[in-house]
Amino acid sequence: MALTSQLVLNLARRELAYSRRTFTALFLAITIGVTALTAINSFAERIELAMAARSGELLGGDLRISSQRDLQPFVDSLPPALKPDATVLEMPSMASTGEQLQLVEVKVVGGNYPLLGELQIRDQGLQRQPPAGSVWVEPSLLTQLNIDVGDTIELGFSQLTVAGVIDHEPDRVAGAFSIGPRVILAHADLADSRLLQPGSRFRTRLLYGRPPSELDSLQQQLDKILPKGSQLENAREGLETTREMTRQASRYLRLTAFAGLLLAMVSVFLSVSGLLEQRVIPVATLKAIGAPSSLVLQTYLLLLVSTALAAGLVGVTAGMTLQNLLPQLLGNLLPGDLPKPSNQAIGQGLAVACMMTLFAALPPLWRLVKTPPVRVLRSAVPPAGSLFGKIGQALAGMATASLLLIWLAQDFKLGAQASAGLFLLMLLFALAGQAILALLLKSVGIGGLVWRQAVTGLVRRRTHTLFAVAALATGILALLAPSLIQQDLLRQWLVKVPQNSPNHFLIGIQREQVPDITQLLAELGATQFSPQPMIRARLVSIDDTASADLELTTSRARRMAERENNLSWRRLPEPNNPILQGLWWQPNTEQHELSLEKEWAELLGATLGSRITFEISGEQVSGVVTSIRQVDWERLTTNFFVIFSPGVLADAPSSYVTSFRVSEADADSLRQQLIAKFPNLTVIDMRQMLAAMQSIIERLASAVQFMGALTLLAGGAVLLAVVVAERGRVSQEAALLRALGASNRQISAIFTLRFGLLGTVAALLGIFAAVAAGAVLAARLLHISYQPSMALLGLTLLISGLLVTLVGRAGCQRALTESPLTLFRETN
Amino acid sequence: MISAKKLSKSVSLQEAHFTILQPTDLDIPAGSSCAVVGPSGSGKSTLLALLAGLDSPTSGTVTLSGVNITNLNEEAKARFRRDHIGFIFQNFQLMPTLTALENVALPLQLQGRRDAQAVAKQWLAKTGLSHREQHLPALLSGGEQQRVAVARAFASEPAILFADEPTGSLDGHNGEQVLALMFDLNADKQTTILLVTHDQRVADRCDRQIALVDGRLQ
Ligand SMILES: Nc1ncnc2c1ncn2[C@@H]1O[C@H](COP(=O)(O)OP(=O)(O)OP(=O)(O)O)[C@@H](O)[C@H]1O
Ligand SMILES: [Mg+2]
Repeated sequence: MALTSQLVLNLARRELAYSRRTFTALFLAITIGVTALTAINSFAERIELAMAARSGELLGGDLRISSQRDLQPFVDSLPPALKPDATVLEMPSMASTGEQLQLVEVKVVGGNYPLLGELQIRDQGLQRQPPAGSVWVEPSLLTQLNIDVGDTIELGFSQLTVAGVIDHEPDRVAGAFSIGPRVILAHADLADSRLLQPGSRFRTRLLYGRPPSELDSLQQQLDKILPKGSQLENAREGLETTREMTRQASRYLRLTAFAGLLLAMVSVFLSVSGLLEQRVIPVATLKAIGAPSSLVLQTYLLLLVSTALAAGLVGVTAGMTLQNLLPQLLGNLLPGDLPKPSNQAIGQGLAVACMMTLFAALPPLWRLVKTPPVRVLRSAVPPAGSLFGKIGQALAGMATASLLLIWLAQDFKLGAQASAGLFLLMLLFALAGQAILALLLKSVGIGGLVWRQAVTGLVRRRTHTLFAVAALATGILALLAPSLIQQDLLRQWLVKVPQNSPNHFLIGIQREQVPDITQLLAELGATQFSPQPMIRARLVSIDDTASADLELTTSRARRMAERENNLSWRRLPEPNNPILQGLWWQPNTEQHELSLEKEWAELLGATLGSRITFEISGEQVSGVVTSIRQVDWERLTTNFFVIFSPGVLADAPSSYVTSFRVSEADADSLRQQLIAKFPNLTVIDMRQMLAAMQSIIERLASAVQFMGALTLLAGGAVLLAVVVAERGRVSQEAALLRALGASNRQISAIFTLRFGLLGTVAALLGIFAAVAAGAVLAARLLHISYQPSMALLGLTLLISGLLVTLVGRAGCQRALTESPLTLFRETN
Repeated sequence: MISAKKLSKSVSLQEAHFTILQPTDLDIPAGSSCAVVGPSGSGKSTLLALLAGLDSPTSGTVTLSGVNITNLNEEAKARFRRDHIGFIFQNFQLMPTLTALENVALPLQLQGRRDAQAVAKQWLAKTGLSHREQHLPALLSGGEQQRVAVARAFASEPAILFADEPTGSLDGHNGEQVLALMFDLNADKQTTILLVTHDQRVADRCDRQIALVDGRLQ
């Protein structure tokens, strides 16, 4: 027994040394597959875990009422049993030190905040509310204002001491979508700051933390008295929606992981079956001289399993490292710190490495083990492989791969869909590749020797060529599609602030401040300002149909109907808003007239003549639509969906907003002087906002591209497996060509051109698929205009072609230069 | 000794039946050498494969050294070959991944012998290839490879040696060298030899010749 195992060990060792290229290709393929799977899977898992664990925290309590109105009167009216346990109010504002000025997100907390999760203040541990007259701030504000803990800042009309730095805030949803650093203020200090004024933009939340047994009845009671325009949510439902959202996101991630894994499996299959086919006669010899079948089985199982385990270990390590890097790539897009990856991921990685190897290797290994010894006398006869058998094999391979994906997805439908989709995709690529090969073959007559040999070589080894083409095209698709979308998303957000048009917004202007601010803006060098009234209102009905009963098809329309609308009124039409239908009112009209933005009207089904009713601070106001306007939202000026004729809203509580332009040189001093004089104002610099959006999109896209790159790498592994499997034939072909008098340069050119062609065909197919996928995504999901960049496509084509040529040529370089002598011996 | 009774082989190919070997009786005494000659496709290799237990007959029995191997299963036949039979093939059929020495040691290792390495060295020395011990087959000439194969075949000192065209891939000089080696060792060890060949001069060196034409013993 010991001697047999020694023999197995020696046979395996020698095989490994002899076929090191094949095993390198195999190792790389498994490593890449496991890396992709581990990195993406455990990343997705961590996001899901983090979301699940924190969705209660994110909601802030077991029950939550949220609104864009001041809920204080409602709270005051509540009986003691229904009073909220904590309150939160959030709004943008300006924090300043006299010299420096920064847009911040103020959070006013009251009651027992936080009900769930922990509010961590640096060096002070867990805290609830800042002491009177002080605030806690996010660290970035200290650097932005160039201050330290203990210094004072101005917020609204108050001077407040910075009493601490926020390390962790439980219910901060998406840090990166914020417009500025957080400042936490106690509810008791709100009144003095006068931050809350009619028309100021804020969100308020009433939080309840109660034992589960009381929640249902509490929810029922609150539901009955819920003020209009506010939502009641409970943590359990919130959990479901966040779970569903993260599930969607992680599904896409997992799909790219599956694509990478599948390609890796294809590569493993090509490597292993190529190697084992070459071992048929040696194995027949072994059996002829008396070796048991088990010796062959043990030798190759040992080799495959140890390669799989080693590669799996490397893959898991690489995957873990990468997924630890991902959060850095994503910046603070992810909430808080992610839980640590589980040991389960390591076990899973190793199991997957073994399974992908064995699934791909077992059929050819089984045939090898079953080789009849008499084959040693009939080495010339190739094994009879019927078409039927090959199709059967392919189906069996696909079935086992699907099983693996289903197991990994832990979801039959998802796994089956993913594998069916991926196989279909690769089949389509292979069919398209086949068609292109047929075209190329037709061209053979016109080209010279080099062209002819390059093309016929591709066609002769059709199966391998098509495998490589399909795999590379899939990889290119995975990498390119998100890049194309990213560009369009960026274009959408990156509408550069046009020259000589407004570049700032000023919000929260009180009616009585309008003349002074207008004058100050002019003095400080601002242009193109015109404060517009802005009134918060809720849609009540359109033509007697209550807003809740409107037949709205899209979720966007539903949101429009339910959210707080910002109304305005004006005498004269806005010059940049062309009237599409109807006529603008007479400046001194006494009718209650309305002008609607085109898209708003379409979404909510309002037309000329519709009577629309809004509710403003408890009072209902109606008007008849007499014009429909077009608004160019890409011009970053103040625009409104709904504008009333003058007079109707004159007495409604309103604030004023304006956009304005100021030269960059004057911007800082203007902002400071403005806030010094009117602390209630909020100035928003649009360049900063756009830059923030851009960086979010870029970070998201780079995370997705990163996954795509892993898939492309797996496609590269398939190419490598093909090149290694073809080495013997390449040597023979090169020797034959040389014997026929071809020069080294010609031979080199033939193989360079062959791989160049392979890369180009794969890139063309991948690019085509990416453009198509991008178009579907842009139209169906993202609703953005879509113009794939020709430069990016050209670059992809060029780089893919070059890379494939390089990898291919590097892989077969030695085979080309080996002398025909060693070569013929090796093939004997 | 090798003995066959009513040994035949037929195959069906695309629903047609071919008889490759007509029922054949054969007795080759222990220690003697027998050449099988005949034109290409006459069934020589088939006969060899059946006698050596590499293939199963359609009918008839094969008895080697007193053991009826016909009804043994594949693994038992393999064990029998390991312990009693040596092979030399036209295309050498060395294990490409193993060195010359390891190739020679292989049958001994399969038998579980601890001295496999040392014994293999001796046999390789007898074929004059001591300086090639660590070389892979691909680095050896055809003649050298076949000499390694001869060493491999004799290393386990089998009772019976089967050789299918042992000189078929070699030129005259190398072929002669290999034959000389084979017959010398045979004289030494009293091995029973069954040898398939095209070459009348090779056949003439055997104690006995049988001729096959169209699967029929003449
Ligand atoms: N498994 C098989 N299936 C079909 N035909 C076979 C099979 N084995 C052998 N044959 C056929 O039987 C005939 C005899 O084959 P065999 O290899 O025994 O001839 P041979 O005398 O050794 O020829 P050569 O001198 O060319 O080696 C040939 O026509 C061969 O094609
Ligand atoms: Mg023959």
